[in-house]
Amino acid sequence: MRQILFVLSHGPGSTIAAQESFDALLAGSAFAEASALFIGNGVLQLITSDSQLEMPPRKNFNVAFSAMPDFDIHRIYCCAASFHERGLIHQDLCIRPKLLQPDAVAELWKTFDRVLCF
Amino acid sequence: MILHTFNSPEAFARHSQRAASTDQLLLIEDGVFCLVDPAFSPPAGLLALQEDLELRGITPSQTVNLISYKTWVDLVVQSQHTLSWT
Repeated sequence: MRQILFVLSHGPGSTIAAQESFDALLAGSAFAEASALFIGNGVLQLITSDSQLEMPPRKNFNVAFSAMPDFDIHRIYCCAASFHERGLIHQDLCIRPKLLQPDAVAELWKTFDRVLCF
Repeated sequence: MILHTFNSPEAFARHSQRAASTDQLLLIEDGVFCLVDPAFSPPAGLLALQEDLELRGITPSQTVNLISYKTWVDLVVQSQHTLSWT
């Protein structure tokens, strides 16, 4: 089965880009072996609603993230540099992605048949 | 080789450092506005789509390699992946 990496690089907020990229990931999981990489501002999507971080209320679509294994999305990665640059800690996250250092991210592309950036 | 395209200066600022030394970086659409920023220092071998510069009336002062749509297609064929950073 074709392996596709979905790169989620948009933060939540004023546009629906973040939600659309997650929708694409779920749709993609129907016809390929899909994996997810949260990178750049995309890591902000992972902040759980019961985190201690102060933020205005927003539509919380990330409750659906915990459903990813049900969609056979088992490989979920997060760029460690993006994660630490934004001052996040593990307790802030709603799921447990595998943290990858930047050099590992650069190698990750090569292991997939297709890479789709959102 | 991986081809990274950037369609805005913000996308370039956020994601260009992810490219490996063997990768190609290409400015497209509003990404070419990077070239009007006097503080912008282009990495070696940076590519920009000539038609998008002409459309916006930009004459780059920095060293940048201008390519055509046809060359872009050739690059896509040669690269393992194209990563479109937005």
